[in-house]
Amino acid sequence: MARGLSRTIMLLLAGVSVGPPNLAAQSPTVVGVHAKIVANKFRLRLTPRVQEVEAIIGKRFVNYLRQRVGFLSFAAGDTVSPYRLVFELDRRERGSTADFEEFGFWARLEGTPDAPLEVYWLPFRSADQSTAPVGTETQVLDAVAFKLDHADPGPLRDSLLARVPITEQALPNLSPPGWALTFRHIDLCIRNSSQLEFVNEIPANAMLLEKRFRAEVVGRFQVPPPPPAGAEPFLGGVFSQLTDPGGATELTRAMSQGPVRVRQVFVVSYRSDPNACRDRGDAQDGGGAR
Amino acid sequence: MNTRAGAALVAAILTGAGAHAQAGRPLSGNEAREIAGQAIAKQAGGQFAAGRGLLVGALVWCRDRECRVVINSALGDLHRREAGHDRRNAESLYGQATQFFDDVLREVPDDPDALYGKALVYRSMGPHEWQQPFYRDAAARDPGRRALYHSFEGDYYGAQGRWNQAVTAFQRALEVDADDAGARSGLVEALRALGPRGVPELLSRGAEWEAQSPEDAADAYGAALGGALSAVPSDTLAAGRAFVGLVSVQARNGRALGALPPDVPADWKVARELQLFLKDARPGAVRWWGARPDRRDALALAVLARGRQLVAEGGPEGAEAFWRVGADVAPPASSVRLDLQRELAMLYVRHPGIDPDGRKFAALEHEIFVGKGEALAAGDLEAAQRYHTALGLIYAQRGAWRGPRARNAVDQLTWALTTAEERNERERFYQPLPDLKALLASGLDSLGDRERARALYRNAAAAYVDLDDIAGAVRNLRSAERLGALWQRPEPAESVVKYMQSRPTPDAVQPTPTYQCTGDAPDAWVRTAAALGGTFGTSDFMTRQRFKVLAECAQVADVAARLRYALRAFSIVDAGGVTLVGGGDIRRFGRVMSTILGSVGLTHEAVHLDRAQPRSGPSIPVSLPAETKAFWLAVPSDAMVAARVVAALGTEVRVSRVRVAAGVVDLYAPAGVPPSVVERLRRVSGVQGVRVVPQTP
Repeated sequence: MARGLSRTIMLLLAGVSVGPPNLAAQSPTVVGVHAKIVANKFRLRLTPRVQEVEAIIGKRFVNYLRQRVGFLSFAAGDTVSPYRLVFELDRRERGSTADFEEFGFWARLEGTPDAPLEVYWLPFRSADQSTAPVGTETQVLDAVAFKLDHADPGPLRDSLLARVPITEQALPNLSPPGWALTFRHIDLCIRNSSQLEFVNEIPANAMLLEKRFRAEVVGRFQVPPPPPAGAEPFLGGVFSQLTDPGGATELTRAMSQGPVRVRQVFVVSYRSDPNACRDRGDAQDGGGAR
Repeated sequence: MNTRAGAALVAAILTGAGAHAQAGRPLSGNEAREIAGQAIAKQAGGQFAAGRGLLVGALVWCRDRECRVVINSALGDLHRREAGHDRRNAESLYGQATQFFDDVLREVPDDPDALYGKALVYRSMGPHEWQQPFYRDAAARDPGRRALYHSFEGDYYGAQGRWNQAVTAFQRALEVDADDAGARSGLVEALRALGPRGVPELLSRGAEWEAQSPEDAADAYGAALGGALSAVPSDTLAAGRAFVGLVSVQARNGRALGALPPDVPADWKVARELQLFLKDARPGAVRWWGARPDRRDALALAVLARGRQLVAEGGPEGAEAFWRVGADVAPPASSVRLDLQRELAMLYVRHPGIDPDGRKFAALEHEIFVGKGEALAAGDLEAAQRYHTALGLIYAQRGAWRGPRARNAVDQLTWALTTAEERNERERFYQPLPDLKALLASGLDSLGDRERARALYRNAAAAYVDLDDIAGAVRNLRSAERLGALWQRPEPAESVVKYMQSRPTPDAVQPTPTYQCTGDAPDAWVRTAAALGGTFGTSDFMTRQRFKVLAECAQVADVAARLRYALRAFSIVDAGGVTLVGGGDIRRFGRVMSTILGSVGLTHEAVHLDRAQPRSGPSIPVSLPAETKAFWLAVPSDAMVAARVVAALGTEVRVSRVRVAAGVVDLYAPAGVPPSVVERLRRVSGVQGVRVVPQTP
């Protein structure tokens, strides 16, 4: 039953350094979501309510992301989080002034070391439909809603959101080699066989090296009672196992030499569990057809 | 007195419900709802204890079922949410939440909110043997969420590693609701776990979901690929089919082209060949991909997507190179070939530097005309329409309204519009296209062809009415009138304009002062508008307008008349006689259903839009502005049956509530229902049986 959620992971603590996570709920990293209508064609039509429409669109995107990207938290208009996801409705060819141009939503991630990262994500109006009327505010919001209903979150997740660390807390484990998170599967709406990347500080020759490992989510983290010191916050959490034998050897060696500290955890290949995300609340916006 | 009741007494003294204690008065249902709302607000702010205290205190002062149901439901919900935040006490909180929901279900066994709340608790607790019968039972008790409960049952089996049973449960969920995301995702996981045995269904599901849910389609193809390659010996044929499907989904949705699932070797030669080709577009480098039309089609889609990426990155020259190769690679009569040529033509217009002497465009023009014939021969009217539209816009921009046959804007735009009409006849997909009609009208106007220009302005006005853009309609009516009277007397046009301007927007909940919703007024307006001729006088347009106006009247007329208008609007849709146009019509239909179902105590569940017509169940064609393909509004079968039943009941019988599950109708009628009426209901489309319950639910 390798993929069963009830799989018991035997813990062998050795040289483990664990932070002080508590048992109260923790949320994955918050990403602020912002929407901006850049294209003049739409901006002029929606004046003077452009900012209100942008705010509504921002909430629409948040609702969309909450349902489809469970490993991060999203907040419309948030300015506190260092991570910002900005959606801009603009021309596909940004430098072009041609009459027949495709319009769509660009998505830009800000706040990561290699940011800003940007992808042209969601075509909104094809070039051969460029003469179609922009429509009223409600019609524009309807169009955004319809596009989002069938939009593929894959490019956003793979190109942008996989660069945002979901947490800085994870518990390295010797046997089987891997890491436990404080988050449960349901907290991240994640399925087994998703792939996580762990950035660790590992001791090597009296130095600390940064080392990245990939591991596959295989089950829940459980130990026979009583749990060892520091392990309790991780009980029932997602456990990811190293699948690469070389990596396993390296991690085992590092743990035998001293404490291994996890610095960041990323979700690099996500298999979502939509049933777990059914209850994610909606940010009410009050506009358009839903 | 048990512990919970004791806590309630203490809490009653400590909380706002103490006011009722002092007044010695029980809580009404509305007061209970108000307190539940306050508690939920406290919970949302992290004040779980305060919210709990408020509700426990209020429960003491509930004297009737309604109050207890509201408060116990809220308590269950609050404990469930708190469990998600308090890991240490989660198990106990989930247990308490279950007890509160059970309290509700003891009083109202079919209460949908309590069933749902309890199911969410169970789902959060992880799998236990005792959950499976509950999911089965809940699916029978709450038809509105049947798919969800089957899906949760599938999750339960999956968590137990009982994959065959999981597959069956998820399939059952998808039979009820093909759009259930949890069931789609769960089915992929279950079939993946079956290994090579799951591959055939994964391939067919991938194809089924490509348009509606690209994420699930990509997962299904990815799982099929892994399963086929893991077979001993490898099933290379199935693996190839899976990868072709996967690449198509990647190309259509901006995903990384040629990316492989983690469990497939990165050096798999079929993927490697594609990845190399997408670096430099050398046609000879794709032997496997060039061997069959379906592979070439997927390859061309990938090339189209690669070019689009390059354009977005500011590399139009690179895009041109890819698209030219792609147009050669694509099968001759394929949509993707037309798409590549259309993109190329527009690229040359946007970037004259790539084609300084216009030779490339001229050569492409020739290819396009050949290609258009192929598209028509292949019956791909959508591709042909987009072709004509693109060329029409290009010629219009260049001012080439006249010219050799087909090499002018008038011909191309005219053909775009006639192709759209043909699609309406063949595919039941009506497109208003007011912009194209107005553009062509202005071109003809500039050429001095006043008669055709006037007719097109008028038809553009009708198209704007379809889109609820009254200002656009009036503008085009005025342009038409400028070229000659639309009618012998000005009154019809003026009264149409006046009436249109008085109409509420689809979002309005209050009538505008001059809006007439009495008697025959809605039909009178449609008849008056028909006098304008052209599109205004067609039966399709009149039916669409009749639906809009009746639906508006169902919202804003006298309360007594609303149901009557709603039933008339519903009958138009149910008869299959109308394409809903835009979000406005979708909202109108939703309100019509709410009015009808609400009259017999039912709630209208949200409907969803599909990109492909659902294989089963009722669906209504929807035309969205600037979309070149039809959408389909999928409506639950039981909701349609319930609305038909309300229509068939007429006014002679009073029922307090109607329930419909899998076509079986329960009529709650304390005074009974005459046998003749029951017999009439049995003949209603979709009704599988009628039961009369002589009591109030």
